Amino acid sequence: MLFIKECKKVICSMTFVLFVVTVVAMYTTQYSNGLRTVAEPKPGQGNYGQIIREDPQLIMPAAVESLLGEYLSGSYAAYPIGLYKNVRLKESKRLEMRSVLEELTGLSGEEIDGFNDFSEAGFFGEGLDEDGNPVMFYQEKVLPEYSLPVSLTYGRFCELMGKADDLIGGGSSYAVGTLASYFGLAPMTYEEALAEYEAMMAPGELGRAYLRLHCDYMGIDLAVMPVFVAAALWQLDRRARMQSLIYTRKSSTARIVGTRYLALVCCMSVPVLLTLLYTVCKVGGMYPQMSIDWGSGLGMALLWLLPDILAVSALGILLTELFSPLLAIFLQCVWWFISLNATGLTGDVGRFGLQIRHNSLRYSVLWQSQEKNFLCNRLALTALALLCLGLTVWLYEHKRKSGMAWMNRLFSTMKRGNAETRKEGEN
Amino acid sequence: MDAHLRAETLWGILKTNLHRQFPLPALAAVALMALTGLVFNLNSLEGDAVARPLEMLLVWVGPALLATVFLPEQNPEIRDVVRARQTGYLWVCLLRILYSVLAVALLILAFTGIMRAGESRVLPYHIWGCICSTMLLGALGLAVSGVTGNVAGGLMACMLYYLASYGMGRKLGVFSLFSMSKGSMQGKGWQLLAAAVLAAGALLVMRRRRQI
Repeated sequence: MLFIKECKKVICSMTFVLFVVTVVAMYTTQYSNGLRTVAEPKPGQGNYGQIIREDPQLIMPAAVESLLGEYLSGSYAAYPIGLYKNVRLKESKRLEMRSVLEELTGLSGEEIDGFNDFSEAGFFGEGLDEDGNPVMFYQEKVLPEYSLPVSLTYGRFCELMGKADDLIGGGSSYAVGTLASYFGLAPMTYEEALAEYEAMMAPGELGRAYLRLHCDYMGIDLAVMPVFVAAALWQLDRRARMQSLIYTRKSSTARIVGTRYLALVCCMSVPVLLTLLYTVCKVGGMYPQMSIDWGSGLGMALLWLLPDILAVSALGILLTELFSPLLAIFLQCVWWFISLNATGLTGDVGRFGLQIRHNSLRYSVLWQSQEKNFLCNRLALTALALLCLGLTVWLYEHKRKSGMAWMNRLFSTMKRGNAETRKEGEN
Repeated sequence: MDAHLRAETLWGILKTNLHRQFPLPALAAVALMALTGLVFNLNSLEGDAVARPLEMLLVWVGPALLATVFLPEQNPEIRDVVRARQTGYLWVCLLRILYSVLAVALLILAFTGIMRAGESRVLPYHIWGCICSTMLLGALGLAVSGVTGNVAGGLMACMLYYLASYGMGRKLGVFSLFSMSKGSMQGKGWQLLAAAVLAAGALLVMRRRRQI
């Protein structure tokens, strides 16, 4: 009974309506409008996309060229929390970087610093043609002549790259873990493209690919929007000054808090589940000749999206109960913004963290290699949700018993402040 | 009430509100400004890169300051008490909006000043564009929170608009929050106009519904 009442309260709230609008808008504008069938690659097609190869012969020259160019330009690109940072090194660090380059290029420090003809790659103007249009030409990066020392092993190269990344302050393209993704990109062959296509068409994989992309978009939404609904609903008692009435009810705290939380989560899950069902129908219609196995894909989708709703709502109600709904919203938005920008677009699955991204129907093998991290991440988020829920119950119970003396003092001070504001506003 | 008395009363209300209503939203706005400085590189930026910290994060000082204008009177009973006073609640709200708008402009000027000190090429249009987008996002929060009496709902509407700008790119035309980051250096004035219309419209609706 209480659950139904709470559900009605959620559904009739303006924040829930806005939540549904956001879910539907995100689904239609970002996902469902762009859905296409996956075409089988044809021989002689020309471009099959790119693939990352852990090939030292590919990675080493490209990385050294990039590092030397950045050293000569005096600035290094880094993405410490996903956002671009232009790093300039202090003199002591510059000299350390120079010694790294000496070992990588075989050039002396004087030869590197004495090179004055450095130029970035790019298009440059070369006057005007007869019709007055600018004539452009492409110029390769101009660097001093060097060759990689024969004695340089891949292991030592990785050590030096790690050192360069440390000098930059982390988050650069020279971090050992990301070297291949920056410098190991190579064109995919027809055979590789065909193998990837066949892997995607394997039983269960096609449904998973479409649902992964679905979850990628919806995950952005669900990592922040539930906090608005949760915070707004949780402050209703405070706004209506009903706390004392509810505190004296016979129902246990766990029942009150648990039922409210469950109502929140259930109501917010409904539009998400409906979009999942719509995806199943729509993709099924796109491949009428195939019987797509949706079982494992739907399991993965629920494991991806539900912990988002659980954790964001639970953290929202805890912070609202502890401080205020606005602080809960503020902190969740900060966490969401940093997570979103710190996560790579495809195949970025950390063991912990709010956001998971895989913005592609392809790269199933890359996703499969991350499945353990995915499971760990979602379980950690669910554990966080349970912890926050437990803390909220504890907090609520103490408030009911008026045992939170420090909290009461804090609130009474704030109330006095508000009363004074109103009093003076009456003038 | 004569003009002198009225000015004195307004001055009293302003002082009280600056002391009681303003600090928390201002603190949130300053925290957002600091966060923008921490998250983004502010030195030696040129072109589109200058607009990124301004449009992606700093614009949130608008909702922090403007969507919270009606926060102290969220409870309808308190609002009814305030409305019954001699100095109309509308004047109190206008006063709050005025100093919040000034605070938005000052914070943006201070932030872009820091960027300039870091040798970033901040153009006057970057400052203008940032103020316009911040006002639009703030006015949207103000309008929704005012009309619905729900500040969380106001902030949610801002997030919805932000996500729409994030996902739809140029489809929003002159109303895209991230137009400068995408290389467009025109049309931000429409956002300021929209902000003014939204705020005025919201106050009008609230007046008609006897909310203020």
